[in-house]
Order: sequence, then C-alpha cells, then structure tokens
Amino acid sequence: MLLLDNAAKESRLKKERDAKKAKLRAAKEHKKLGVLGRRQDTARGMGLWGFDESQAQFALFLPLHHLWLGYMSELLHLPQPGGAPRALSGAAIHPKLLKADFHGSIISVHQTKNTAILGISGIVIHETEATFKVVTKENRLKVLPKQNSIFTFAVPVQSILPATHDTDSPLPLPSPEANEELKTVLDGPHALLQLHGNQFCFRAADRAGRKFKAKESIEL
Amino acid sequence: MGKKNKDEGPNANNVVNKDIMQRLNFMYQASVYLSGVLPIPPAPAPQKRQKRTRKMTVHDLSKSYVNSMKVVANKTMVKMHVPSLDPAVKRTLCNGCNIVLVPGSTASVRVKSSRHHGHIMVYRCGSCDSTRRIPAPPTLAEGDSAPSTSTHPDEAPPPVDEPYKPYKHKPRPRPRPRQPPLFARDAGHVVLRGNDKLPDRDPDLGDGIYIT
Repeated sequence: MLLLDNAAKESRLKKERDAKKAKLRAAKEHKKLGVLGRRQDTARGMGLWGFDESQAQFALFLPLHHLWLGYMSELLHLPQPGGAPRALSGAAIHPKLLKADFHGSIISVHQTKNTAILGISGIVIHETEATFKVVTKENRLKVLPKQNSIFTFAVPVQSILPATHDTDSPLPLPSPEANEELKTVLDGPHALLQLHGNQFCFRAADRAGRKFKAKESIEL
Repeated sequence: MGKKNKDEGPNANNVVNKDIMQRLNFMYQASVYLSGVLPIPPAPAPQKRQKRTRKMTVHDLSKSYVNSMKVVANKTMVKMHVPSLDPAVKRTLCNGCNIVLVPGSTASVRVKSSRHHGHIMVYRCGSCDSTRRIPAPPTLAEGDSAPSTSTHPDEAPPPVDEPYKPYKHKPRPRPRPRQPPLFARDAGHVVLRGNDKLPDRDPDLGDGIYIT
C-alpha cells in the first residue's frame, strides 16, 4: 500500500479549455444584454446616452405627446368635451398612472435641491432608472435626475379622442408637417399632478409589475 | 385558476390587465411613429483610430420603446411557458434590433421557396440586416379536414416483363396544406370593441395585422 503524496493534478490543457469555455459563456451573456441587440462596446463608448442634438426638436415629438394624450384619455376614461367636466378622483387614477408610460408626457420640475434644473419643462422622450430625458420648447435636450426633485405633469380633463373611438382603432396621430395649430396639454383644460422623483427611481418597464409602498417623503 | 362562468362570454370590462394592454398598445404605436418620422441615416464608414461617438437617434428611441414593451409584457402577463406578447405582434418585431418591421418602410419582404413549407416569407430588417423567416405553408380552407394521404387510388402493378428503365427519382412530396397558426385561426377568439362583441371577421380578408 502506497499513499500518493502528489494527488493527480488537473491537466493544464483541461484548465485552459475550461477557461476558454467560461470566457465564451460570459461573452454570450454580455451580448444578450446589449441595449441595441448588437453591442460591441460599452454603452458609453457607443454613445448610447448622448442624444443627437439635431434631432432634439420639440415639433418632432409633439405628435408623440398627442399620442400620449390619446393614451391617457383611453386609460383614464376621460369624458367627452362638451359634457360637464368630471373631477378626477385620486384613488381611481393613481394606481393607473403608476403603471402608465410617461414617454410623451410633458413634465416640469416643480421643486428640487438642484436649482439649476428648476422650472425646466419638456416632453419626456426617454425614461431611465434615475433620469427623465426631456426635449424643451427651445429644442434642447435636458437630462433631469429623478432623485431629489418633485415634478409636475398634466393630464387632460377631457378626452381628446373622437367620440367614435374604440379599442380597435389606432390612437390619432397628427402629422409633424401640419402642426401649426398643434397644442400641448397645457393649452386645454388639464389637471396638474405631482410626481415625487425620490419614490420613482425605477426603470420604466419595471414599474408595470411593481407594488409601490407608501414611503414618507422628506421635504426638499 | 378560478373557474369562470362560461355563459357570460368575454366582456371588455373584465379583460385582465387592461391598463397594461393599453400601455403596450401605446408603446407600439409610439415606436412605429418614431421609427418612421425621419429617414434612417446611412451608417458611417468605420474609421480607424477614432473614438466612436455614436449619438442616440429617434430610431434608437423607437427601439428602446419596443425593448421596454417586451420587458413589460414579460413581467406582467405571467402565463406559464407561454411567450407573453401575442405572436401576431411578436412577428412584426425585429429579433436583432427590436425595431418594428413595417414592410416597405423598415423591412423588405421576399418570398422564398422552401422544401418543407412550400413558401417562406423573409423579412429583412432595414437597420440591422437581420432576417425573420416566417413559414407560409399552403393553408387549409376553413372546415377542411386533414388531407388524405393518398388521393389517387393505386394503379395496377406494372407488368413484370417490361424493358429495363433507368431508375428515376421520385418527385419530392409537396408540402401538405395545414391549418394556419392558432392565433390567426378562427379558434373561438372574440374581438371586442368597446363593450360589445364584433361579428366574426371575414376569413378571406383578415383584419390586416397578421404577418402569416
């Protein structure tokens, strides 16, 4: 009986092979994660978070805003214009608005610790976990951090959808060319709602399935 | 799974996740708008020794809307082992870059022949050049049963004393007509408009949203 002092080592070739496999697997996972589907670089290297300044035009995103107004009218069951305006009850619309999409809405910064962004208002074109990206009326793109800010956004009080609208037909979309008289939600009757950015630091897609808990908000 | 009273039939008011459906609808339409509002710029020639500073464009925005639409659908409509987006919608999205494939605008469509399916519709994405192949086999008409395997009665066996013939390959069996996929078939689906039920659609015309 002989005890082997030097136990069988793992062969060098096997180690190399395993390392190669792990590397391949990691590369595959990384490729899956890509925001554009074909990421070959980091997001910053690809310039993913910068926006082309020439395309940040308010007029370009006004139809998106109108699409959003139609979506809100459908979501909140807004009454047709002409009838008596019905007061929106908070208990009915808050859970809906939490799950709603804010791309296309007009938000403005109401209160904030960061005074440089106070009062900026524009159409949300992209929502990330920590920021809103808005295009202002001056055709500038602004990145507004959610943390430490209170936003206001407006929902229409009356439906902008035609009375004949049904769930089968597409939401009305004006063309970007003939939009001289296109108006935002602020030009009609609207209700202003406050949004506490501190409690809204979630990705837009995650909000749909999330249960929100009441947190005490600290005044800014 | 609770049992529902079948006699009542589907009702627009108790569609589950109605607000999520509306959100998906909005995101899809916003994505279609943004993908078509400006022409796709030609890809710049790759330059060496220069830092890539690609800026986000409206097309990337439209892709990110579809991307989050997929996430929303996956997170909320929990059905076991069932892909959560409706296949009719899913077939209009590019697998490579998440753009909405609009034939003629963001995608080019070609019909190719295939041994197994007869025909295949190939959607080539205009921005990332990936393809989506959708088999389009001959379809059975409504109410037809499965085709019988041998329609022609066997002829009499050939006489034994026959001059030698070179062996000929049998012609390949043609793809058999089959029923359209379940979502495109009239399988008891009900289309709701507002609160009332729509009459069944004309099966010949379709309703124009399916890529089949």
